[in-house]
Amino acid sequence: MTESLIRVRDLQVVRKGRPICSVAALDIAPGDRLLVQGGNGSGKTTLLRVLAGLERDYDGQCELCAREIRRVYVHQSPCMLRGTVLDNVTMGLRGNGHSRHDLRVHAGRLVEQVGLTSLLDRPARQLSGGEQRRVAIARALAASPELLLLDEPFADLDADGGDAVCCLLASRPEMAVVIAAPGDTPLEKDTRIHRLECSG
Amino acid sequence: MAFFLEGLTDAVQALLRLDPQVYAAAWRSVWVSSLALLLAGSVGVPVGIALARMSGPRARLLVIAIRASMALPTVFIGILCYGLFSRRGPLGPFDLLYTPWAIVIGELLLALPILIALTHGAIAALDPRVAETLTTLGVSRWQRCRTYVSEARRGIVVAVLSAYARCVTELGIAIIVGGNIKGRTRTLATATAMETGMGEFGRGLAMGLLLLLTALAISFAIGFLSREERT
Amino acid sequence: MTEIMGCFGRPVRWGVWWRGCCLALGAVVGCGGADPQPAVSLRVAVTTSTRDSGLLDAIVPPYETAAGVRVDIIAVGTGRALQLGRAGDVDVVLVHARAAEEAFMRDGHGVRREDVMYNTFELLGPTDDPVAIGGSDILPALRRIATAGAPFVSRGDSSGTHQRELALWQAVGGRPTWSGFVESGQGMGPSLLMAHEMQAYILSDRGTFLSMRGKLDLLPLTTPSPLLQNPYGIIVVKAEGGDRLQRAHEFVDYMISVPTQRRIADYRVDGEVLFHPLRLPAKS
Repeated sequence: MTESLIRVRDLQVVRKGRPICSVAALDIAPGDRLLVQGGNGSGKTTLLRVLAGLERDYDGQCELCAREIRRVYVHQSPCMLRGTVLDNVTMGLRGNGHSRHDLRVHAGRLVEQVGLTSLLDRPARQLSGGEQRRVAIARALAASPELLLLDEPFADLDADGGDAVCCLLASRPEMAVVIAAPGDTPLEKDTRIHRLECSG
Repeated sequence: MAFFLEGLTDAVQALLRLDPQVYAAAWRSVWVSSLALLLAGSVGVPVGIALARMSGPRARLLVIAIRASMALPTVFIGILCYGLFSRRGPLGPFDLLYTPWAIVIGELLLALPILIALTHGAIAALDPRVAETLTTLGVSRWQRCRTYVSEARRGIVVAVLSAYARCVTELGIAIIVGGNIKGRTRTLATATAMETGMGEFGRGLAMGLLLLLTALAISFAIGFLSREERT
Repeated sequence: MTEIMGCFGRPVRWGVWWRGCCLALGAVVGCGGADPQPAVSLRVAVTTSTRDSGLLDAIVPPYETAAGVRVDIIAVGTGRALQLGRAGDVDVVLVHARAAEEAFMRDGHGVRREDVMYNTFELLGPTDDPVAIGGSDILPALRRIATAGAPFVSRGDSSGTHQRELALWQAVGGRPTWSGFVESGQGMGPSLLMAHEMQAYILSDRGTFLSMRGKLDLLPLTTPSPLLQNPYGIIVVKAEGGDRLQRAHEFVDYMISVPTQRRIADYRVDGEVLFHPLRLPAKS
């Protein structure tokens, strides 16, 4: 039994007197694949943001088991930063002593894996929605997270894109992945599913 | 009307005659305010960014105070600086009074609140996903700063231009701590005021025009450098 | 754009931007900072009248070349000039308010005071002279202005001219108050322009008036009087630094030397003598 990365107990997020997300118990271990399902307004995004450490105002426990784990959250509609695809993908890598050449090679490999090889030097904001989504996933993976949180990643991906992302996730068995989606996803069948109750 | 037109003709002639005194004053205005801005920018922009990252009632109070001090009258800053730089003042031993450096420091104080407040505004208006993306990717502080400037460049260009415009045209500081010394601390603004005071309407107008042209040139230069049209 | 983006897109473009700005600013600052003038300087606070008349431009540059000292001229009113001297912010003051100068010396702010030159004050008024003071003496003229409530522009800035004006009002019975009496709070030049625009009476030093005569519809109206004598004094301000004090003494020596005094006597604007030296030996 591996040590879990994050342990959630009795989590409750309240905004303006209205509970918008409640989870009784949730453990995420390295390599876990977790699908958070629930209707609109059921608090999927909020849960992911709490897990990512972006939402700090909650009741209950959300404990990290190590002092700090690398966790990366990808927005439902990802935000491309000004600059090229390459700039975006290497955003989390720079300043770590990598040479420009190394960064380019590394980013190139990631972008290839999401199926966007030819777009490396294109301004990221000129890409289509689906392309931006894939760039965002490549960007998140470049930061080599231990926990990856994807908010509705398949929403605007075509079949090829979805497969590419699935492949990419499969190539990182040690990484825990939490995916929020309203319905079915092209993920493998062994995915643990956590259903969120609508608490409105 | 004849008087006004005559002045205008005089002004254009004075500009064309390339009076070296006038151009020296213009050049001094530009380099003094450039230096002030360079210093103020290297402090003001990071402080503006830091302020935008802070929250809570104390930060809000600070923002309000800084916004209010955008309206600081230049004469007030001038008097403040005079008190500091006077030989009896705390900074007296540095012998700064009536030097261009005194004007630089005064204009720095003038530019700082403008830069901080407008940078803060530009950063605070950014899409919150930018900050979240950077946080979640775990970028370095320097990288974060750079990205903020890059994302908010339009607002920051406006901040820099506003501060520049205020510095190039300000009169109170230059006349109180600069002293309008010929060939040393005479700026376009003090020269304009002096010429007008002596009834040299045409020459005053010429310098006013030059002031306008200088501001225009700076605006163009910054606009060109920042290539605002790009996404 | 793609070319300069090179292999590492945004940072290079960003770098161009950043370096471009810094270079431009740096170049501007670097060029401006270069100061070709001598580093040894002397600060002299003078009254606006001496600067605006152009006299100092005629007599100071030769001294700068000869002595290798940069003389920084700060033109302010007499009151402000003495205040700068009291604070120790200037090394020499050249002013015209005898009583204030003597008080300054008595209080120990100055170490040496010399008479330099004099000119005269003039009571100026509109060319049509609405209260008919042309040709009368200064005191009756002022009295008539006060009784008629004619427009009058006062400097109101504790300059030498303002102090004299107050002394003259005192002589005719106290500080005036009527709606036509305005205080400009500005230098002589702006005040003269104001009087010109308002067609008001004004007390001015002759030097500034002559140098601006072409732009003003104002005329000197009263007869010459000893009450309108305007002597200029030069004071070495007390200072601790020996060098500064030394330079200040040397400058004052220069101002009262015979060649300089001749130059003052010879200085003319449009053929009119502006200042009369006080230190020329009677015979020569």
